[in-house]
Amino acid sequence: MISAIYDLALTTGANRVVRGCRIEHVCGNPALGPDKDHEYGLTIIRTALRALTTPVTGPTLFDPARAEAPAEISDAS
Amino acid sequence: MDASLRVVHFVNQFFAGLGGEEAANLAVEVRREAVGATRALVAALGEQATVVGTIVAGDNYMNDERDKARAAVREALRGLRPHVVVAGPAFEAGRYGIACAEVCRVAAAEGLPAVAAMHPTAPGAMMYGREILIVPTGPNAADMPRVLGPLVRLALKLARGEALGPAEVDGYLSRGIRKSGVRAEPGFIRALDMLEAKLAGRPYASEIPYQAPEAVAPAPPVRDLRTIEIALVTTGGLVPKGNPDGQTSGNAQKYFRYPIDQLQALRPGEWEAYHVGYFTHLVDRNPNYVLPLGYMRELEKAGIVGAVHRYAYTLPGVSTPVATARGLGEGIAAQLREGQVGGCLLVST
Repeated sequence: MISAIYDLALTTGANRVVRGCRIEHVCGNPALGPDKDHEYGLTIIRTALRALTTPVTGPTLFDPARAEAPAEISDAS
Repeated sequence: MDASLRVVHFVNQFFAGLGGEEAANLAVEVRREAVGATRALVAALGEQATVVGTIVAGDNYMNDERDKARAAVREALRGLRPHVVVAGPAFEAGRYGIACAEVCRVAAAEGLPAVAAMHPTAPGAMMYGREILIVPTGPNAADMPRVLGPLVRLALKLARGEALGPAEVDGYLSRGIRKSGVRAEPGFIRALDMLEAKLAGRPYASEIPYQAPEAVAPAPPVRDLRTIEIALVTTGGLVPKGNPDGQTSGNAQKYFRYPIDQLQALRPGEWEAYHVGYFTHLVDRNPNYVLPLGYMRELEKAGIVGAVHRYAYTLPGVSTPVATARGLGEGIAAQLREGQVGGCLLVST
């Protein structure tokens, strides 16, 4: 799930949650201008694909801003 | 205290003392004398009411000959003219619990109050718990001595035609019916009292029943993105311009799917978002914000993913009761499975 309200997604039990930008533009940011918006959107989607290939044991946040290990939310239950 | 209050008891073949599985095909019959578990009910009722008859039927008969059974129960009730019908306790039994529920429903159709007793997870309770009154029991007959008290209390209340109190007061499974009323203290005082109790480690009762979200086991990771099809789903309410299928702007009763196999990206002017939960102007200008087809096509061309699934799924995800959302999700998942999709990106707004 790609969501700007990622906390809600995690606490309601979505297992692979990718942090989106904002509700009104989840996969990108028009304020960045077309090139950077596109780059950002692509990063979000790539992060989502990375989430699909990552084993998880419970609700886990994948942040496009952080390319390294995802943050497992152990107290989201 | 009124011995003229008439009670009819319903039990299965086992609790009537007529046998076990071998007697499960017993047709509906009426016993005037107190048999089996009815004796315990009679003792618990004492002087307060009279058991005028016991309807007995085999578990299989009640299940396999449902129409005949219902008719026979109806006729028996008309003959016995009780003030209340007590069915069970069936504890965890599946068929017996369902039979008890059926008897209560027949009674209700005859304008007679009725109450059953069974374990909250028994099939009868799962199926009919919102429709009939059920006194919760433990898993087996070891609970019989304890449950008779609450069962008799509620049965007498019903027999006397007294108003039914809330589930936790009168001791039955909540049917999810909310009645307005006035509480003794204002809400902020009740909330602070509850918080104080919680902090002090004292018991407290939530006024709103809390249902923890269902924990779903995570799917195993995709081994190789290049070998699978990925589907795009959104709850952003994205529809073809003009909303040809009349998607609602909220409270979704169904989901929609649209072929995207011929598209390289979603172009503004061809799609729009119809959703009361967010301001859709930016998505209208760039639908890829909620259905990222453009990005997926790039990654598809670059060989990062095998393919984008030919259908995109959409619905307006706002004001959706959890039960409805679950059904819609299951529907979409079934279609994705049928389409042999290997992964799914769900964009939520």
